[in-house]
Amino acid sequence: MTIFQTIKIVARFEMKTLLRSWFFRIFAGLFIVGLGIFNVAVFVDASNAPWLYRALPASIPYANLIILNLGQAIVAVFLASEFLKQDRKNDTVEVIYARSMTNAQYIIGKTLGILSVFIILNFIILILGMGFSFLSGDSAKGIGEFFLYPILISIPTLVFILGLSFFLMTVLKNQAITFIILLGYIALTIFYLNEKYYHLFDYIAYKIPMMNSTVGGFGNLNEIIVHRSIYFFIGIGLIFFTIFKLNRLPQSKTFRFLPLLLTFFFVFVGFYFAYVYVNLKKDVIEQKKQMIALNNKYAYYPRVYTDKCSLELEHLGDQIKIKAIIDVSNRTNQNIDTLIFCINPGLEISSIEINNKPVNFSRELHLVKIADFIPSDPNDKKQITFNYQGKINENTHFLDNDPDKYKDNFNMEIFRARKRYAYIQKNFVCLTSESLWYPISGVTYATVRPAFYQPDFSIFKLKVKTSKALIAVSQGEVKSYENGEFEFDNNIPLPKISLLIADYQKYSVTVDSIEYSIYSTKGNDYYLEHFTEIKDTIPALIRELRNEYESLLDLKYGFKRFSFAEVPVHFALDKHIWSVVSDAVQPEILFYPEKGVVMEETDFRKRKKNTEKKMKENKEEVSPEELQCRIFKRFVRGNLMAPPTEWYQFSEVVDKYTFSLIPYYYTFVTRLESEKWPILNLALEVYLRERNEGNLSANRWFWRGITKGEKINLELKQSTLKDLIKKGIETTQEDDEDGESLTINDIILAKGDYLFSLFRARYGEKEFNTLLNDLIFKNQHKPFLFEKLESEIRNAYNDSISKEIDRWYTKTQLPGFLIKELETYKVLDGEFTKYQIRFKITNPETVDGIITMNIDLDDKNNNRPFGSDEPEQPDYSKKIYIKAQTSKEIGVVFSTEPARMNIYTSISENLPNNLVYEFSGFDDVKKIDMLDAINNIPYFDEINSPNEIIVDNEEEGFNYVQVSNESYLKSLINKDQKAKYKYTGIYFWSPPSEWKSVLRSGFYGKYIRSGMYTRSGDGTRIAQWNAKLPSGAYYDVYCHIEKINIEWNREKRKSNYNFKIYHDDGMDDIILADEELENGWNYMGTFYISPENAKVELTNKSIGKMVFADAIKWVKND
Amino acid sequence: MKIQIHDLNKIYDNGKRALSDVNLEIENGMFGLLGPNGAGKSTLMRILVTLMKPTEGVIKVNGFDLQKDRGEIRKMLGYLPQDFRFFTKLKTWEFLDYAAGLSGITNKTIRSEKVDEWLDKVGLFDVRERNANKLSGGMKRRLGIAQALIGDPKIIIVDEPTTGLDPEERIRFRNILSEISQHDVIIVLSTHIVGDISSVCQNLALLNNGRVEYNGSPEELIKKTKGHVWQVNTSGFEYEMLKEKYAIISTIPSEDGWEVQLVGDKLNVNHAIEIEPNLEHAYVYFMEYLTSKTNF
Repeated sequence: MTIFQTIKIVARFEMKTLLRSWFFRIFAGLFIVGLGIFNVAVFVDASNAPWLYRALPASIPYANLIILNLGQAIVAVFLASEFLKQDRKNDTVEVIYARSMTNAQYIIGKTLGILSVFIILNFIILILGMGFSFLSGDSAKGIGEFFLYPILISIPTLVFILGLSFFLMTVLKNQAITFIILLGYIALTIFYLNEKYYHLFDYIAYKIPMMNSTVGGFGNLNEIIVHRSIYFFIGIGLIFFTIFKLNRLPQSKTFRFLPLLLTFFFVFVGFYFAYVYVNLKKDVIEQKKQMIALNNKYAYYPRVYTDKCSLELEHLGDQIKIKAIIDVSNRTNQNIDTLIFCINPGLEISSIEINNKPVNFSRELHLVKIADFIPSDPNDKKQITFNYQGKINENTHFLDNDPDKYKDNFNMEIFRARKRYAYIQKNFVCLTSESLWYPISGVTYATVRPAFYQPDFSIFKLKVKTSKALIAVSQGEVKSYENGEFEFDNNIPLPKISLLIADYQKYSVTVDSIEYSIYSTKGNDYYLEHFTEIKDTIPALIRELRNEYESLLDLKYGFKRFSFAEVPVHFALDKHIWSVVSDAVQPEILFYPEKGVVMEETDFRKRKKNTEKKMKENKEEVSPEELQCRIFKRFVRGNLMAPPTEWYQFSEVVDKYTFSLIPYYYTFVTRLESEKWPILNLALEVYLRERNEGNLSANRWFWRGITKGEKINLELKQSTLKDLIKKGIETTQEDDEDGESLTINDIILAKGDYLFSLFRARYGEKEFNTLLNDLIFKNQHKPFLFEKLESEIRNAYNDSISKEIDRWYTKTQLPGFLIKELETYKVLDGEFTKYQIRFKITNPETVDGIITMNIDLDDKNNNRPFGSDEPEQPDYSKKIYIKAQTSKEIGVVFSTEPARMNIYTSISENLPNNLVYEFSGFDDVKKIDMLDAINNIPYFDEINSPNEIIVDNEEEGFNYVQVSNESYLKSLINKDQKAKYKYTGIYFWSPPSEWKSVLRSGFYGKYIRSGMYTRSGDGTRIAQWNAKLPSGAYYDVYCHIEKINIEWNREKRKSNYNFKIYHDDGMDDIILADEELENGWNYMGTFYISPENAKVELTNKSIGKMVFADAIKWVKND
Repeated sequence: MKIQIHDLNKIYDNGKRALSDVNLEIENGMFGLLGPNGAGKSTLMRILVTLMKPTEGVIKVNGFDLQKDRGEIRKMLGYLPQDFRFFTKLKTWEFLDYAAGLSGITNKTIRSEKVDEWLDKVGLFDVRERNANKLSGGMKRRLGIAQALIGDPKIIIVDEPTTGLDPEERIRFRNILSEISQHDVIIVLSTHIVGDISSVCQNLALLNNGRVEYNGSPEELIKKTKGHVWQVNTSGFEYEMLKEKYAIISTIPSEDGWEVQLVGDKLNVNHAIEIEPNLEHAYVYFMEYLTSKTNF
């Protein structure tokens, strides 16, 4: 009998036993039913499962196995420890032990038996998924993935957990303790360790990026194999340890210690793979840092300008061979003695020639240095020829993303995909300028010049030779030849070019002399069947959408072609510090992720069904053609035209601007260059994007903590824009929990929009926009200097903007807004009743500011889905410019009763930056004149009366006693989660056991309208207001209350307030019941109070679930 | 076939001496290990089936050293332990199939034939589809012996096989072993039930407190007891005196008292009749009177 026959026999019977165990049957049954339901849910139209599940062949096996693996990792612990327990207890095993077989044969057989039952379960689940996937009409079909995922996910996990269970059972000899340790370990891995240290501890592969693409493969198969090998080999090692420690005399004395040696060997191999894995990750960070350091070294070195760039590229399987001929000139005012170029470090340079003469050069990572003299004379041109060949090192990409915080993967539903920036594979090539596949003059991102990004506008020519079966896509007019050769010719200068090679199918249409194309890989043109009726209408639709977008943007498309080209789902949609869109937007070409999976509105089947359903509800009759038109428009608007929504399904990777077309109108057409304020180009770009967009207003839900806009204000109050760009933003995990992590890009965008909006408000909307449009038009396909913009403004308005920009960039001053005397009442206009809103607003700071006033006329926002604070377009909106230290009275009149007013204070001292005024009913008719204007009024900088002394929770006189009831465990978990921003949401279902700050418009505050709240209790948590009264006198004492009564509070008990008012006669307890309270100031009594006794306390004793501490007012009696 | 045991000692980790200088030579046929509970029978058996390491001593099986050549020896073994239960989820035939597979019968058809043959031999064919744990005690024993014998082992070791069996099952069991022992095999049968040995064993060893007190044929053992077994009709005070002084083998009520069989070196009762000893008498005489004497 061979070794394997014995193993097989043991395995077969172990498998039989397990398959008959009820524990396993129940587990398997639950998972088969559960995942069956999951698969049904994915494939039926009624469910809201994202298109992603049906679009990619990997989705179903990946999703099923990732869920199953969580369960089987736990169940395997029970089964593994059970068999060792049985072996010890049951004498029957002695009849087996007395047989002629080695301990290794026995344990391996047992292990394989357990593994086999799980593999059977895996395949049942996968066959189930495969069945659904093959039965479903438009789902992607693939077989390979169904075999790959069990190998990558299940087997290493099971081998490891079985090995670990055996090991612990062998060592501890106690099943209960083994369970506790292993289940604790599994929980720790799932809830805490899986994301740490590059997913090193994620043995379940729960968070390992493993999405497979039909276009580009896994994108990180090497990494995955290394990671999974760690656990596979350690598991094998631990199994050998079990063999060594098995309570049975070994078959042979000679090989007794062999299992122990193998234990060490396999555990060592596992650890070696862990070492390799960590180094793979660390090397990326290290190399990125080295590249940044190099860039810093040469960041201020003068560089040549690339006028022309001709490239001849040969695609050789997993390599490219390139001959690049570039024409350069020196447009700087310095002579250049060393030419600096960037070429990907994975590309080996064989020779460089200048004007056909070989030259010496040196390389440091991506930098190529050529000693050559070029005088400061734009007419003195040179031609440099580079010959190089190799692969692409992706570490050159996105150096502006902090390497230490660099996240190389992203989430999509339960899936995770590795980010990829470039590909050179046999059947697929994807190269962007970030790949440095052609020589780029100067350095790339440098922290010493963080926002400095000035690519040359060059005339590119590209020849590509690839396999006959593939199609190359790049910028310019293309000539293609039968033998896999392509020539791309550009007659306008571009800031960059890109190249895609794949088995594309091209569909195109020419509209108004522009060729619109879509390149999708073979088999991925699923969209065709959804637009069969509008083949002839497409040109008109494109024209309509283009006109719509261009009239919104007030700019014209600057190219002759526009293509949509498919790239793998892994293609990184990261954004640069200097750009508003992702790198998926390339000149003339927009890279769309495989079958549009992370884009909006790409599930055309579901959209059609939903639209039809809605039409039925509305009793609307629409032709199939019209229906398809609507779906097409929705897709284009939803992705390319930045629609008025901020809710994206895959918000981690895609936002409303990821695929925005703005670069085709500005970024790829021209550039505002400024040595001093390089970020101005981005500021202008974002202004152009936003300038004609409708204003939005939103509710603030109770549980909403601090918004991104408010975080921006807090950051800008403390640091200048210049410093923030330089040092970046530190945020904690707690700050990111609302899914709105603040990036430096957010601050630049907000601040940039603010700057140009100020100019617009100052110089007049139409005039200023026309000036900008002219400037862009005059500088098509070339950059223009800031000085040009300034001279245009000087000519038009006799004003200089340099000082303003300098302050904007280098100072922390922000505008601030105070509002008083808000009135809402009815007025008569002839015989009609109208609704008047009026208030006074002032900006006491030294910087000009803008507010946006939005008014909703009815309660339409009540129709919003529960929990949604998605912005909506208001009925009335106006941007109002308020100069520094000026005040205005604003009046607006409506024929319909307004329901709500939002005042957005934008970049300012104000928090919250969206002041919401709900109108529950307008006062009676006042017989006074209507005010429908914005009038300048005498400046005021105070909103309180002189005889009032107010202490707010944000002020010095306020303090609180923090007695926390937080459990030790909770405090331990929260130890590292100290939030940078102190404001949180109001969690009415679980108020905090300590005082926490919250922002709401209804709270009192000068600029910061905040309060503190805590869970009600025995009164040990106390808030205290101490006033500095001018003298002893009778004072009326008021408390400021924002009534936050949560209607769905189960107990229906509304908070009452227990105040202690200190005065000269002692202390009075004042209990304010909810029904006695009003929003705003509430009178609590009149007392004689000397300065030393001016104190009010509020305890957390309340019949409600929580209490709020805001402000106390002492009003001196005359 | 020959098993040679030389100076075998076993001391457990807790210091308890289970076997003391055991020397035995076991040849083809049925060999009985007789002794009271705790005599060391099971320890010796577990050492013989390679489940336990001796502290000292050498065991050779057909020239193979038990410590060095466990693989070879295990190939020859068939073992039925004392406390034999079953894998709960296996059917009767599946368990036997598993044992057959492990004993080296890899061909599925042959294995299947063998399984059926043995199920038939032990009278379990009709319950072949029944879960093994649902069998009666006797059936389980039969299945146990079937699994021990299915690979045609050369050495069969059965530990207390008849404990808890009814007389019919016990006879059936003895017959099976007896039949097997006709072939070129060694069967080591451990028991504290003398009847098991008397009917089938050619040779036996008496173990007491880990020592071999007797090693030889049952006839020789019986012979040594001749003249020491009596039958007495007695009553009252005399009966009480006999009980105190002698080992009573049996007490049967009679018309005027009891008919008592007893063993002893000398009997000072006039009306005692010397009777022919059997193995049970010999075992009791041996255990009661002679274990302390040397050179028995």
